[in-house]
Amino acid sequence: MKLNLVHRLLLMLTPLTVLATQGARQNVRVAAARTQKQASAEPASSLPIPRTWTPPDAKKIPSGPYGEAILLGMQIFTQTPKYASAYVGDQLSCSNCHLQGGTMSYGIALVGAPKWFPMFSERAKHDISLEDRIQECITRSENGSPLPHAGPEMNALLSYLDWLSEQAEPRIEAPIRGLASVPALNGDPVRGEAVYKQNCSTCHGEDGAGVAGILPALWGPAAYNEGAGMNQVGKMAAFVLRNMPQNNPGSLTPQQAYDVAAFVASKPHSAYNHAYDIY
Amino acid sequence: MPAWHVSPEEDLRAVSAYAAQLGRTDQLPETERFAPPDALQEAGRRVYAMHCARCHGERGAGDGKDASRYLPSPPSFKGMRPSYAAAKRIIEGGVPGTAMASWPLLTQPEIQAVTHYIRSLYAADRQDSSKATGAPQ
Repeated sequence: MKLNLVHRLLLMLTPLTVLATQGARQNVRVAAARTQKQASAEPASSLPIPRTWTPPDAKKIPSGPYGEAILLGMQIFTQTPKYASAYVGDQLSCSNCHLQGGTMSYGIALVGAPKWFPMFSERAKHDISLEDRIQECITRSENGSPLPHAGPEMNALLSYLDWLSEQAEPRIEAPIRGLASVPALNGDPVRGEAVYKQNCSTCHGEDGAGVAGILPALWGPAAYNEGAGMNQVGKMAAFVLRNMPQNNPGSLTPQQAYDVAAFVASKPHSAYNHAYDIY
Repeated sequence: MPAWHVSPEEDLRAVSAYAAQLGRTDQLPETERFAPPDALQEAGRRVYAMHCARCHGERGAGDGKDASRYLPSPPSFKGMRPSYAAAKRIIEGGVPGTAMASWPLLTQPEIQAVTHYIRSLYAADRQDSSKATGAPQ
């Protein structure tokens, strides 16, 4: 009888056990799917995306003349060829290099920039002002002619940078300035071409021309000129290493970053006008 | 909320017609465009290939090579035409509880361009969908 009872109990329990096991398997599958989903939802980068700062929000701009200047500055910064068309010679915007409106760590952030000047310039071999530094960008990276001194465009850009820097809250760490540190390597343009085709040409195009106003050009008439910082292999490598390709930043090795930067630098760029060396 | 079911037939029809064309009224005014429509379309195609096709499929049918890994399945853009505001919200913030992650690195022009492209995939819009597939006009 006892055995029978145990047997019966076991028989009664069996379906439950099977159900429970199936349920557990199901749970494991769901959990695995979730893990897989979460894992792939995150960028597959080995480098975390810095989240210490959020892009500037136009809604927070104060009203009045200062606010109007900030707004114009933000527009020039993010759509330079449209809002400073008289002075720029290519299709790039400030925010193509100064990522997220100048607020992204290792993306040449400019939060706090007004306080860094006057600054000794390796290029000029003397102290320069923030205004001078902006003119360098306009004449090199924007392949343009200098903005009028104290004109509305310059005033707007300075106001925008002031406002960005005022946004700094003590609790939030300001974005890390400049670019990532990279070892000094030699880039090989031949290897770089393969890296480019694999990782960059989908957006920037096989012809490096990008799409005006949206995807930045890397060479040719729509791109920065020979005098731009981005035309220096080491600088572009540092930019690329941390920020590109945009769907998987941090996936290239330092050598690949150097190679692709050497490839881009080997392509034609507009000549820099040395008359603007005064800045 | 008024008792809608007792509303006059005429009102119901008007509301229904309005709701049906909501998705289509959200055209970008020229002043808000980062580039002309052709440039938005081309840039959008590139951004889509880079960031979206893996799940949403090369032609937006929700059949990308990774699509089968996710529940709920990535939606097909053949049957939905998100507004610019909705697409921006979803791209910037992601959709909790789904595989749709946020894309904090995409710029505002890129988001606008990819939305322009995604909207062109909507199957009901024959002209735009033929453009998206590269078919002759």
